[in-house]
Amino acid sequence: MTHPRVRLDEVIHSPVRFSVVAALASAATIEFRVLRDLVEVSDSVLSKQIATLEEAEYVAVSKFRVGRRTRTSLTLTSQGRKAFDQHVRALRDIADGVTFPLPTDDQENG
Amino acid sequence: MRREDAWDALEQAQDMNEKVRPMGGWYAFYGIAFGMTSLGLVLTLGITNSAAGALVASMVAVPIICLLSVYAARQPVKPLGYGPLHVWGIAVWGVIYGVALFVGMYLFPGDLLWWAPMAVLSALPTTITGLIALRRSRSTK
Repeated sequence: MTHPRVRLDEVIHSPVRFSVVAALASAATIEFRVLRDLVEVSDSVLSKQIATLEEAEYVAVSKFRVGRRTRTSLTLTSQGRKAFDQHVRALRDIADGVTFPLPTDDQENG
Repeated sequence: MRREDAWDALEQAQDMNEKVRPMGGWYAFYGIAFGMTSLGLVLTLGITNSAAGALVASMVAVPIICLLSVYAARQPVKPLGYGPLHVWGIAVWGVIYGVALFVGMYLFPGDLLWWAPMAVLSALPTTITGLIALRRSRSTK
């Protein structure tokens, strides 16, 4: 039997990144300052976590000007949304105590 | 990871979802205000049926639409599905508005039986997209 923990996403698994991705999964885009307040972390901590998510191509970052200020907008990519959905499914399976049988050689070879 | 940890994480994701979704509810105001502006504009253009009427209606409607665009651009959270929803609403409004104006000007000048229904029709696309955004902002799924 295989435990659903093997399907958890390494990038999303960190608590701060999980909160960031959960927030971004609930909207089309969120500005950096709002996300910082939602996740309750400092600018530098959020920047670091966003960089990791951006490197994994889970989050897209765009900058735009409103008046004199430059604002940063964050969007979950389709790849990020897929990874989050899979991660949540794995969490549900863990919470429900579900395990799956390992694939046999016949199944693996089609 | 233990089962309790998984439950905690799922609960955390649900809490975040419940915090973020209502932040996209502003689009309801945008959509409905845009629709009402369009209703007033088309109705005034049709009823007055004059260059002066068109000028007054445009002088009121254009600044309102500009203010609404600024309002939308300044919102820090865009609701789920914002892009397709907004494009659909504005595109359908554009078609209805164009048909109302061009057909009305040539075939039904000053005819309330044409302009009143078309004014209501022109208000519908963005009002509907606004209400869709409102429903999504209140949903937790």
